[in-house]
Amino acid sequence: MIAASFRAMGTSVQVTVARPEDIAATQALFEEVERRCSRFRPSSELSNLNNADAADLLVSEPMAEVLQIAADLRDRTDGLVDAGLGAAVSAWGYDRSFDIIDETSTPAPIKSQPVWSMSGNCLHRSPGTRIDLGGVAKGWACDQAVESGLAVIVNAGGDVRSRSSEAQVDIIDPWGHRVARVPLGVGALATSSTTRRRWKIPGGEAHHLIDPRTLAPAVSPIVSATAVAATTVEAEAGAKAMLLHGSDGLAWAAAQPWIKGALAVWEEGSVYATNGLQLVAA
Amino acid sequence: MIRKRFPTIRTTRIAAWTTVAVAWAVAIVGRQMEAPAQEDLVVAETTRATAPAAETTTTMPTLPEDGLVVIRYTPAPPPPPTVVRQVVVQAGPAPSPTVSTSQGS
Repeated sequence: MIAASFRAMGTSVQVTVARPEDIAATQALFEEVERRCSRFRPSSELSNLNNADAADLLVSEPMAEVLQIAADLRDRTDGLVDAGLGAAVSAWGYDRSFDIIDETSTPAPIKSQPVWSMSGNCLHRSPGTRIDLGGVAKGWACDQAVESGLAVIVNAGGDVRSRSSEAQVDIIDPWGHRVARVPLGVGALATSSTTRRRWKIPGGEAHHLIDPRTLAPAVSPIVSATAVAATTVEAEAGAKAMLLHGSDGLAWAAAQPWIKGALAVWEEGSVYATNGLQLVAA
Repeated sequence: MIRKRFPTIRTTRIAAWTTVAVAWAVAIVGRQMEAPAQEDLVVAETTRATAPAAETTTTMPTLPEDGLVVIRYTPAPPPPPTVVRQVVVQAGPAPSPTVSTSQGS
């Protein structure tokens, strides 16, 4: 097998492929998803949707698939993982690629809750609702790369999808220490953290994980959450939801049949896992 | 003349030292008399300072029905990462293509 890496969607992507030509094909797949789903590219399909005035919008087949997945994950997470929070995260300052965030601007938090739904290829949304597909699009790209047969293992910024029974994933805590090795095998694993993608705001700091109940960056005793599931989009949503559930996060994850295992790093450094999470000695 | 002044100086010194000694003794006695009040004050301050901490419950994970695995328990915040300087004299083995890392994004 051949290992390679490239940069896409604002993060580093590591791929393991069987044939050399699959590296470029996987990179092209990620580029295509980013070109369609980025909210930072003015010409992307998502930017066109967000900038449109109409309440009902016809979207492309791939976009409809991603939005339908996002709607499903919102339901599964009791509304906590909501792709409709694009306006809220922009209002807190994350309105451009993370590398060029303006840390001098003052946040202007919004107060209106996002409302959106999918019906076939039609997106319906309330005025002011802006879609942010950052997390689900990255997970979807990982899933597509593996399910299409291009990649054996893909790791996009800690979101891992594998079809190799030998795949293992080291979970790294926010302090850079390895806390566990997971024998992932065939499946997906994702980690969400509030210690990444943080930026300064006047009087403090903000981060990318918005709590839909407060429309503000989440406050949680969990600083890093990892979930194992069948697909990357599920693992990514599960990890975010755990973090947003706070101290109930692990209990919530253990009760979800689609989450095979979960691990959480507490703010003071403690690490807990559900019984379902398989671990191996490193 | 000298004989006449010497006793005066001596008397003055004795009087001065006596005054200092008495003042010192009074201060000691006074401090001992005030001590119980200060102890009361210390107790009161301690009680006030620890009250909020006693009310704040330590955030622990809610226990899942099928139990919880404690991988690491750290009641105090871990120290900041230390910078380790390492001289690599020979390239190590290439990373395994089947082992990934996940730290979040």
